[in-house]
Amino acid sequence: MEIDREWLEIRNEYIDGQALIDEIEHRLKTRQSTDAAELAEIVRGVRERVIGLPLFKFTWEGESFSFWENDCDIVPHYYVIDWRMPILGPINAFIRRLIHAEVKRYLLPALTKQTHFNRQVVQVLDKIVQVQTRE
Amino acid sequence: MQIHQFSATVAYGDAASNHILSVQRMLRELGYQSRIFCDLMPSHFEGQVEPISRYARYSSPDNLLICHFALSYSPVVMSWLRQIPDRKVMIYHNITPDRFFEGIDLVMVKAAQTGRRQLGELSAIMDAGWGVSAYNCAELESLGWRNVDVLPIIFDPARYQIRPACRVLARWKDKFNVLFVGRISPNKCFEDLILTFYELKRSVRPDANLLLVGATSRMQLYMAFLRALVERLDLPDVFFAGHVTNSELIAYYQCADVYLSMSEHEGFCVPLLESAYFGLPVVAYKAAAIPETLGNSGILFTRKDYAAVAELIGLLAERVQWKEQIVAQQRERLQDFTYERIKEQLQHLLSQFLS
Repeated sequence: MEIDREWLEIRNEYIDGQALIDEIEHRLKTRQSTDAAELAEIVRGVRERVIGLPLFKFTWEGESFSFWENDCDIVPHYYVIDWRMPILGPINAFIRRLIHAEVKRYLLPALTKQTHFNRQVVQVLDKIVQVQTRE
Repeated sequence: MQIHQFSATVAYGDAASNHILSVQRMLRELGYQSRIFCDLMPSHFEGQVEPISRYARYSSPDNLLICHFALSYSPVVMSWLRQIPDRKVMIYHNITPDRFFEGIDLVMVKAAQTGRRQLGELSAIMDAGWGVSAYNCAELESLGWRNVDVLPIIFDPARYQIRPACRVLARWKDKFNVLFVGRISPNKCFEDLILTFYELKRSVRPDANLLLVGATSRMQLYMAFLRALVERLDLPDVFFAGHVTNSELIAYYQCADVYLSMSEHEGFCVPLLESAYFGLPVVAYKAAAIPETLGNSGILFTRKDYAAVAELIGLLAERVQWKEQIVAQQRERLQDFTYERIKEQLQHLLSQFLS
């Protein structure tokens, strides 16, 4: 693999930037690096799974609006109860988990209903924008 | 004459907040009466900060109010700024472009959009705009601001003259650690840090650790994505430290071998200066104000080639002499941001403005 000369900017009189690039190139040739496209695919997949996909985007009176799946989803799936303190931490986390489970049992049906409603609103908005664009 | 400061809020450990406190010290040393006013009152600054409702008793056309702008102001603040008769200067810390928050946080998207719109409106309210970098000044000028100047962030070593956290030192000392410091935010491209670390770990330094130090507030979804990516790539040596105390921060710097930045948007980037102070060579993606803050120091790369950056980090770890040369140059650059140097600049800007 070849690295273009402008890739590195190092303005130090004691370090030869060109020699550094040559050394990096040489090392890259002697080892097997992961295909960049493969890594990009991994990131895309994880992103899509966790963050979701964009639903639609439009501009109205100079202001842009973009709606993603998770903007509709108000259930905090990513909420993690963690601890950092060595002894009191696990006890604290255990109590918080109990409280969380109880609150979740109470709130989840309402949040799910609201999420469903939000998605429907976004779908309707999308349709309105499509119709207006056609007109 | 009085010179007061206003900021939407201040927070413990935040670079902009530290800057506000340092500017207040400077103003008082220069003989001005100086107070700090906030819209949202913080919890850790009792006696140091006052609500804007109390500003009326100090307000005067002879006074100067320095307003710090980082994301957006509330409508209440915007109308308050329009009403007060004081002369006004804005210190611009920059707004992260809204596109970075799309899909992550709708509230941040809107706040960033509002902030950018307000930035245009504020040009008619403020008498001058001082960016913390020339990069920020260019943004102000593109929005039609006049009287634009640079007043960089102050680097105050006194802030780091405390004992480092033993717990952090005990865990990370004598290991090969790559460090990044900054709140968890999509513009800082943590996924690229993780991918570079993946290459580093796989082919260059299997013993390496990646230490990511920064608050996660409001960014839980992005954080969940990063954790899932770490899991998918099977990288147990990526450590998210979260928000840390000053003594913990110092310990992380002391344990690190290289500072790596993949960030695509920074208005200034204080951790670059902190790295110089703690003797860490900086390897950074050339974007936004990063090259300006580094001056001619550090190592910049123009394309995110993860494997090549990993090799570069490996080479820096091997060639101690190179590392020392880079750090020496970074420390030289640090002199441009000392308290005394910035105080001179502030004094010059004030005399220019007030005359």
